[in-house]
Amino acid sequence: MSQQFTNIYKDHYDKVYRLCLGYVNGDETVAKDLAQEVFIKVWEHLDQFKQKSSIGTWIYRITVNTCLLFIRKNKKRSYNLPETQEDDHNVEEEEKVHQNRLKQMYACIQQLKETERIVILLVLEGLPQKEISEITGHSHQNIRVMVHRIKEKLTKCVSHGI
Amino acid sequence: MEFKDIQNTWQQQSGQETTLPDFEPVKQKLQKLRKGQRITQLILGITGIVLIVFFFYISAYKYNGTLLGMSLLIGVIVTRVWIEVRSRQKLRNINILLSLEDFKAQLISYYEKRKTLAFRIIPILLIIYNIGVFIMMYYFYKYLSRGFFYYVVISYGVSFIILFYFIRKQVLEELFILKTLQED
Repeated sequence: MSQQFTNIYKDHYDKVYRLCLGYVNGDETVAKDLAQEVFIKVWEHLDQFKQKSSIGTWIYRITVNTCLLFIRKNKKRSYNLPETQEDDHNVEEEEKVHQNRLKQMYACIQQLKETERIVILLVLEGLPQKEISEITGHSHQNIRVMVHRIKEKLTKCVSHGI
Repeated sequence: MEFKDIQNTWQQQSGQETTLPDFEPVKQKLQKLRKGQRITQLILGITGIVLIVFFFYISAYKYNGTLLGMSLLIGVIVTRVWIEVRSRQKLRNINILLSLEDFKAQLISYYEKRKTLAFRIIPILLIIYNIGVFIMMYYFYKYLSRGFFYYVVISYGVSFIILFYFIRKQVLEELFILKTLQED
C-alpha cells in the first residue's frame, strides 16, 4: 500500500493543492495544510477505495469534504494572495495583468456560496460535469444548470467587479 | 471577457512551481499522535478512577455533608467531558468518502445536535454545577478561614465568567457554521 500511496501522492498533489488554494483565497500556507489533511485521509482510507470511480474522483471527494470541514472553522479569516511588488521592474506588464485578474478571480470565488465555490473550482480544473455530479452527489441535470448559473455569476464578477 | 478566458487564467497557475512536500514525516507524526492519544486516554481513565476512589474515601470518613456537593460537581464535569469527547468522535466519524451533499447533510445534523446541546443540556448542567458549588460553599464557610473562603468565592466567580465567555464564543461560532451550511 505504501508504494501505491506514494504514487497517488505524487500524481495528485498538485490538483488537490490548487483546489485547496482556490478554496482559501490563495493563502499558500493554509492550502498546504489543507492538502496535507486531505492526503492523511487518503492514506487512512486507501483500503476502502473500491474502484467504482476513478482514483481522481475519489480523491476529489475527500478534498471537497475536507475543505468543507476546514473552512467552517476558519470562515471569518480573510485570505489574501501574495502581493506583487509595485517597484519590481522585472515583473512584466502582462504578468501584472495576469496576477490582477487572478486576484480578482480569487475574490469573486470567495463571494460564492460553499457548494457553488466547490463546483466552480472543479469546473475551472476542467473536470467533466459527469465527474462533478459524482463528487457532489447532485444529478447531472442539476449540475448542468448549476454550472451555467455559476459561470455567469463568476464571469460577471471578474469582468465588472460585482 | 468570457468564461474560457477565466478558465485559462486559472489553469495557467498550474505552470507555477509547487514543490511536493515530503509525506514521510507526516506519517510518522501521525503514528506517534495516535499512540499518544491512547496513552492520554489511559492516563485520564486511571486518574478518574483514582479521583473517584479518593473522593469516596474522604467523603465517607471525614465530611459526610460534602458528598452531595462533590457528587454534583464531579458528576457535571465528568458528564460534560464525556459529552464533548463523544461529540468530537461523532464529527471525526462522519464518513469523508460520502458525496459532498451527503457529507454536508451529516454536518448539518451534527451542528443541529450541538445546538440542542448548547441550549438545553449545557444550561441544565450549569445549574446543577452551581447547586453543587453552593452546597460546597456552606462547608467552605464553616471550615475554612474567612480570607481563604473569600478567595475561593472570588476565584470561582472569575473562573465562571471566563468559562461562560468561552462557552458563548464556541456556541456562537457553531451557530454561524450551521447557518452558513443551511443557507447553501
